Amino acid sequence: MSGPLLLIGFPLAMAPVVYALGRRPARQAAAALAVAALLSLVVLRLPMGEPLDALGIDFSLDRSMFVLGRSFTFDIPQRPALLFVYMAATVQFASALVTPVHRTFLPAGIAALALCSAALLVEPFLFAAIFLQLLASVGLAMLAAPETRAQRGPVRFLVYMTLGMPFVLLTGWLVEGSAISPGDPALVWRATLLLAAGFAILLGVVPFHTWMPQVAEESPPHATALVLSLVHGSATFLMLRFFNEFEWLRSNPDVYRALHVAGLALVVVGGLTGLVQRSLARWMGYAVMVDVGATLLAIGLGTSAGVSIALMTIASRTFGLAAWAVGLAHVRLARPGADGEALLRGAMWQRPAASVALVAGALSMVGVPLTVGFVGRWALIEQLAPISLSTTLALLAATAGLAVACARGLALLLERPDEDRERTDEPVQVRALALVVVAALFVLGLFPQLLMPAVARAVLSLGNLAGA
Amino acid sequence: MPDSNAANSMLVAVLLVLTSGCLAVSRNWRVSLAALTLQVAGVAMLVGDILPARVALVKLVAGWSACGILFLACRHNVLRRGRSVSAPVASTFGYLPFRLIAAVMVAIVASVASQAPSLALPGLASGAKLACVAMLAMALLHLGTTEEPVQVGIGLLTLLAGFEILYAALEPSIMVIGLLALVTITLAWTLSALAMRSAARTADGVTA
Repeated sequence: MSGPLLLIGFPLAMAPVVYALGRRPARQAAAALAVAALLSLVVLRLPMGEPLDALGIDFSLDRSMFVLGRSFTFDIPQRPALLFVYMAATVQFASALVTPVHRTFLPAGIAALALCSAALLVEPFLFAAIFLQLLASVGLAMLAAPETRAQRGPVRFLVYMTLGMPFVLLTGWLVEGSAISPGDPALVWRATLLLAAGFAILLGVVPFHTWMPQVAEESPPHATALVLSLVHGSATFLMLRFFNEFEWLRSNPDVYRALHVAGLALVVVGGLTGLVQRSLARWMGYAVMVDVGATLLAIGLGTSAGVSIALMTIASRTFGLAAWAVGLAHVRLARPGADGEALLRGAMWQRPAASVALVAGALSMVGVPLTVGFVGRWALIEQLAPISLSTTLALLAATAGLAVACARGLALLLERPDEDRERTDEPVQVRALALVVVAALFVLGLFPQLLMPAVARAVLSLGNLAGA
Repeated sequence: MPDSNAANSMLVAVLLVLTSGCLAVSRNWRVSLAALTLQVAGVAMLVGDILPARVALVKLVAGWSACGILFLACRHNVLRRGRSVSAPVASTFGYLPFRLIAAVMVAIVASVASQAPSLALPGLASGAKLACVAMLAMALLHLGTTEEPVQVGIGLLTLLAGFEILYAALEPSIMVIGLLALVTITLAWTLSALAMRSAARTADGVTA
């Protein structure tokens, strides 16, 4: 049996099964969780290409699968990225056990896992751009839930993901077809420009960022968290593979300057606009922008430490988004139809555990000490300060801007509720879930060494970047 | 014979410029879907000049399937709402004359840009180049002037079709062609579902 077939075919086959369980939400969530957890186990434990013995049956998982002349190959560099994708989904699917989600969210989420696997395993890896576009189409099914009032954000998200794909594919043609070499500056310049445009669109660099706050505001929180984690995670891994693969890209100082500028633009715009937000939903879109900006600044350092920081930032973002999603979903459940300040005012008294999860997720996204978000942010500031003081100050200012808006949200959450508003009992399972996600944020913030080995392995798997 | 091929290719290219222009200008779903159906046939003809006929057939089937999906969604919405799915947009972009003038300007710029020596690509005839540049430019104009899901879907399909003409000459891999066909159908399917949900919500809102 082929390993890639298991990682792509199994979730694709399970998606309709999970959809069929839609009338029983708990079973649907349990089935989705089992699929994601099983995929994580396969990637973590099963050795590919070696003989295995299970229940007396000898078998082996081949590393490669060939489809119409192209291959899907499981290799060491893909392992950390795949594990990240499956773990991110596991967290979101686990929260669906106690959070009402739309019927299509879980099957679409499982199909998204198959597409992410395909994007990470396809060879030549340039074709991953097509799978990212398909991922965006499936993401739209998750983001545009029936209860969604507006659809501008999800539609815009799909438009940008589709616009980004041709640029990456054309770069692939230039690179592969023309046997690009540093001795041909015109071709290098053209390929670099195309690649920069493609990733700027895929990652939502200013001015292609407008979908992020809109999606965060309009879509269900768990869908937003999963889609943002998967899309940004996969796109960043794809970008790092380009750096790892092509020396002409890795050795071009202009590329790192461009990454620095793109990251700075995201940090400044996200920080400034996040400062004036009254809705913690929309605010999260800007917080993600600052976080993506920080990731680009880290990669722009051009060192292996920078790559480690970028991967750490991506991993911690997943935890922050998960806590925020759990919190916001349950605060919204308690106050259907409310938005902005009305949604937050006095919610701490009505849904204390969910409110704590919401605030903890937001604080982690800001990069407040003791949370997991602080680890990557602090490391970035340490690395960045000697190189560019102005960028470091901009990053600190953006963090402060987000923190002010977050503090405003916290003040609203803590306001005494109106006399006529009844205190609702928060289900014990919601409290348990909130406790788990908040504990994860703080435990990983206090003991980042729990995450560091995985990050170090991911950097080592990108052989050419590890020694930079 | 090569001259007649070039003339045919140019004729198809002109048809594609007209259909993509019509798609960028029109907000009537019947006109748009008719133009899209023609556009898919034109693209398949141009791709058929570059790749084997059966590959062009894949693009034709995928494109027409997408048209069918969009048609069903529009028809469903019309039956549900009792009016056109393309409600006028209250903005500058909503005005027909604005879109018409913009489309003419885009067509002129595209025809000039397609002659640029920097766009010389191996295996791509001048007609295919014109069609490709014009469709990409018209699609961007279309996407910039609408937010309605079906119209966005038509804009994205035009963009993808323009890119497919270019990419067929560069990367003739069967898997990529199959994946792009899958992208075409998935785009139509997801945006149609979104349009139908949107119409259902509007209808429910009106009823309530």
